[in-house]
Amino acid sequence: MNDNTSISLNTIPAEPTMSDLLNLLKREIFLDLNCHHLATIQSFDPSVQTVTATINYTKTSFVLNEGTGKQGSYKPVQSNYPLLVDVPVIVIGGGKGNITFPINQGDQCLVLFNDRNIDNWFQSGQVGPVASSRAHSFSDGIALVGLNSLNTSISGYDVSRAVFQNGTTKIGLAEILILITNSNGKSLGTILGNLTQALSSLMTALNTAFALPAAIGSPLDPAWSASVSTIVTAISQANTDLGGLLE
Amino acid sequence: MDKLGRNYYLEIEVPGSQSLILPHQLPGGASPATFTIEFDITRNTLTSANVCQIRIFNLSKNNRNKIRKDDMDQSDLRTVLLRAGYGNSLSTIFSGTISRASSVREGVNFITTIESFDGGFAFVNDHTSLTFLKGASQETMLKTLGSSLTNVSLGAVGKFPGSLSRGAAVSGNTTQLLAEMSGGAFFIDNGKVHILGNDEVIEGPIPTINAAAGLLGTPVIENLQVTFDMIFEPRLLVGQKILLESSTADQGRQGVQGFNGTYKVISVKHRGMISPAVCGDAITTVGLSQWVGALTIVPQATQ
Repeated sequence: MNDNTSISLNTIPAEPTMSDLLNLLKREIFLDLNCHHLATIQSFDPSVQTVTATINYTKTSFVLNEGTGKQGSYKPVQSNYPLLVDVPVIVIGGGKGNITFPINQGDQCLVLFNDRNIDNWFQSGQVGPVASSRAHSFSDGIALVGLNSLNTSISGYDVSRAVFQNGTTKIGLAEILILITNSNGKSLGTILGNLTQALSSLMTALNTAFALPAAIGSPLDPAWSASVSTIVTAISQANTDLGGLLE
Repeated sequence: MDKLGRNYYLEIEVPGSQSLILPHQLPGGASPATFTIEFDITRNTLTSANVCQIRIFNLSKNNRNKIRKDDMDQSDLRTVLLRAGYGNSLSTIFSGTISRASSVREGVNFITTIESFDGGFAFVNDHTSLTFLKGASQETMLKTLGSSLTNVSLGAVGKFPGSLSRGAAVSGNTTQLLAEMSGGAFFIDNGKVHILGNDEVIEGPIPTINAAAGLLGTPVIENLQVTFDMIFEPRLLVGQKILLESSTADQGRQGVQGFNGTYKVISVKHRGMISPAVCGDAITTVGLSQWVGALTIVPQATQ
């Protein structure tokens, strides 16, 4: 059912039982409790890695039907949740390393609402008392960016590699090989393979060119020939090594 | 004030344009009570709604039917105002929203019972969805929420130091948010929302309570709260400052200090009867909180 205004309510007046009451209480607690919400990034401050975000669904409130005055009935009305501000973003990292992403307006995210107030932690990063007693508050969100709806799902999802991608450039880690491609679709492995091939051909051509005078009575310096052979061998080995590293 | 000649003014909103007023108002001030009423009113500084039960004896069938209200029907919002006192000097002892009203016959009397709660509409219906930016003061946030309540005006708001080090977003029932953000310091009394710290009070018309003011018996102190009964005192306000002067409470055990002194009124319970025919009792039970240190009077917002 897609009509979120037609939430069914039992409007038959009857004395509730304890079970009804406890169920209502449970539901009320669930509705008041913020665990995590889907949201859309509205702005990103890279200097402190915080975002402002809007929650991706509206809140249903039952308000008096103004059209019929005080004797009217309640009707469901949709309203927006408040704008979440100064929400820290989870940046994957550890030690001195991290992976950052170009977070943009419109990106989808999951906002996790901390059990306790995060104000003091956010200021100092230290262990200490909380700034207020609030719990699971909209003010204590932490954004995890990278959530996709069907509208933003990744096309051509690579199921065989771990891929680090930005636009059309990507680095893919297969179990043995690494794939690095640019916007033209050419992989670094191909480019380097071509390069070593060209170098190998160059060295072979040079060796042949310098060997010609020997045939006509001007022998090639044996030291030069040995060097060329070593370089050709090294290039061949590099080509083999690249083939074992890059796709 | 002589506490003689109890009188009341009761205004009940009924469907239609006019309210039902008891006693029927005459020019030149309050009229003598014409219907017997009983009342039981609890007002306090807690964040829950103050409640009131009024029993009216022998209204006409037409008026009984007008007043009737199902407690399940939350869309039928009607107000009730009870002013009471002595002679023509009446004070508001309850102002709220009717939650349930019905009539039954008890013996020879038809009794209409009205249950109501103060700020009822706000407690049930008011929702907030707001964002406060970094730097917003705690006081500003509380005032913003307090002044947004429906059918409730902003009263006294005390000192709430501090401001936001990060932006904050709030969403939910406004009274619950106020309770949470003020640390339980908010209450609605007679249609006014007050947000006061433990050491903050509002100005009240009764500065001193002693035997001359109607103090009955010896005040009792338990759990840092003092309670006592007095002859019905309609002018007393919840949250006000009073000086307690009991000639018996001041005589503590040897070496134990008595507890006369300055207090904050944290609860007022009025219960009694006002009738043109029956004498009946009318008692006010007062609860005071003990606070070490000076109480600061907070002026109320001007509307």
